[in-house]
Amino acid sequence: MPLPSPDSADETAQLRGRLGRERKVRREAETLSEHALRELYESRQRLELLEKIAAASNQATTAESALRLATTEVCSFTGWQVGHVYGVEFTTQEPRLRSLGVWHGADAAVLATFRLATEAGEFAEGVGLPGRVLASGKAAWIINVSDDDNFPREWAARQCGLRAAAAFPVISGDKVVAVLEFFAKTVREPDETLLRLMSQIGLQLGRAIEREHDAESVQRRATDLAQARDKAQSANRAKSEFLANMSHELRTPLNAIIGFADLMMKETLGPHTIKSYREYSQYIYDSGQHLLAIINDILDLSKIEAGKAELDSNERIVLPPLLSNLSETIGLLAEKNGVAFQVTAEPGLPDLVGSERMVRQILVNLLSNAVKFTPAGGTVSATAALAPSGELIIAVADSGIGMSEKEIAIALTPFGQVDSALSRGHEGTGLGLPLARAMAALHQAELRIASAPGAGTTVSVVFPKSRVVVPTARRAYV
Amino acid sequence: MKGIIFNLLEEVVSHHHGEATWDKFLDAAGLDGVYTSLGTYPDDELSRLVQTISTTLGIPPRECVRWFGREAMPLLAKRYPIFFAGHTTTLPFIFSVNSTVHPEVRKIYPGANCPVFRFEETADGALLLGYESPRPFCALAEGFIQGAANYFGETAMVEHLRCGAKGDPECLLSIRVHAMKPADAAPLAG
Repeated sequence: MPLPSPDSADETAQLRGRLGRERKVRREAETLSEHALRELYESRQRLELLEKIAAASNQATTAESALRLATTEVCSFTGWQVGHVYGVEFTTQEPRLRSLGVWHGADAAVLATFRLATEAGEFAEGVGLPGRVLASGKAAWIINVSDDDNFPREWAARQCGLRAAAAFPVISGDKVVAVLEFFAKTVREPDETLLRLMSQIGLQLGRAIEREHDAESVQRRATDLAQARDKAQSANRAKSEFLANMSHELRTPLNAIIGFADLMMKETLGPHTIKSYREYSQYIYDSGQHLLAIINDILDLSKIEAGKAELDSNERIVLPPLLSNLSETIGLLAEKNGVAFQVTAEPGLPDLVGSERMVRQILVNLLSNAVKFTPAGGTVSATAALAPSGELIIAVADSGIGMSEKEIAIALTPFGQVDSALSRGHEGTGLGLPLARAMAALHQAELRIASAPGAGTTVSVVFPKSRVVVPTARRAYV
Repeated sequence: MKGIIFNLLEEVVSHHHGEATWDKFLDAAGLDGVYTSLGTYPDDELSRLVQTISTTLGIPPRECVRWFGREAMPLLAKRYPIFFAGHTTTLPFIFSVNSTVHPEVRKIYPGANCPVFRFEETADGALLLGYESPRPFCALAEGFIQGAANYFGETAMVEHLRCGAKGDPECLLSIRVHAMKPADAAPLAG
């Protein structure tokens, strides 16, 4: 091989230099790629960790299980040896940090002392690592606990070879409700990315705790409500039972009063020497009848409320005769009040199945209310018709004072009386409408009230198809 | 095998025997020698290089691999000082391989097939290191251990109690570390 000429020696040196440069370039490119790959890997890991904890926070049945998972996952992500959770207690004026017993330790035997010190410890705001986090509401980092002068568990940490520490708050609402703390066996410089990640985890976990609190309070409220409802129901039943018994006891002497007043009124045993006595015995008789009617209403309603009422019969009710009979009774009252009164039964009206006594009572109550609350010159009408849906509707309409929605609600409450200028003058117990509704309900019928102040009231009793019978004799015309 | 191992081998060979020797080894092994640290290359290429070095220098292949491991360690310390920073002695560094070094390696080299070590300390103070690796390079592990001991100014005696290369289902190394400065690293068959 010939010796290289000076030129080619230069060339060789040049090539060598270029090779060295190329090597450096390659090495640098590799380093850059390594960094990029590492970043990518770590950010993917962080994302996976966050996703895992978010999923756990959303799905975990208890906040504790979400905290436990987060503690383990953060340890495996960071490679730190110890993870532990303090809960914040608000029982006293000053919040206190106490261990929740959620612990993750790489080596139980080696870490036993530190675990004991940790789980037995209790911290006030500002004291120790968790106290610092509680006070600031922010994540904290200790490079080496042995160099930290606010770390009461330093002796135990040193004994177990723990150095670096980091902790972050679990925030629910704007309150710190728990603190997660982690320890490594090596000294570590603060890692801003890790601290940010920890804060995000804290917010996720806060959601789990909020959810648990919400669920708990909803549960508690539901239980309270159910208890209150049971109590109210049993009190109402007791009241109804009492009223039913009382009404029965009252009726017996009342019948005697009415009966003897009747005898006196009719001068059965001899004429009254003073004319007023006859008049007084009429008062006794009328008042007695009125009282009996009220007691009967109370008895009916309390029986229904006590759950003891049943339909006393399931007879065939032919409506036209019932309605015309009503028009006589109510007609008199209407005439006395100067109210026009009209009853319409559509031709081909089917029969109802139920208690005629109750259906009559429903209509009497509705009609007498209508007449009562309609000023002189007004009109009251009762219309019975078969709806296309097959329901049978009896509507009682008046041109009276009407009611607002609030007043309708009052009128439907037993003993509730709408306080208005007109009603104040009216006698009654406030049982008419509730009783009508309760009796309708025994027929599975619905009471619909359409009313507005000053625009009159229409109360419709809607009997279901199941209670409607088309008489065979008339079916031919339908 | 990851390209970084080939890069380290090139560096070790070039350092002790010159760049031309590395070129010769590549030619003799019939390899083009294009290795980047992030790439993955057939294990067979490393075996062929080891075989070539062994034949050329007249050294048993396993001794070649051990030498390479020993010499590669200071180069690794230069490239990745963070792995060594927290340690002053060999054993804690070896313990950190499972928990720190290999997880980091997996971050940079996706798909890296690092072995997982089991550690056990015997009554007489030896450290037993067991592992199952899909590759027959337990001599490399031994070389790395000795290299690490050199780095920390100690000496490691490594004994193969069980060896995958001999047909055992796993490798089991017994390691004894002494605080003794070893003889200065010498070029292989230098």
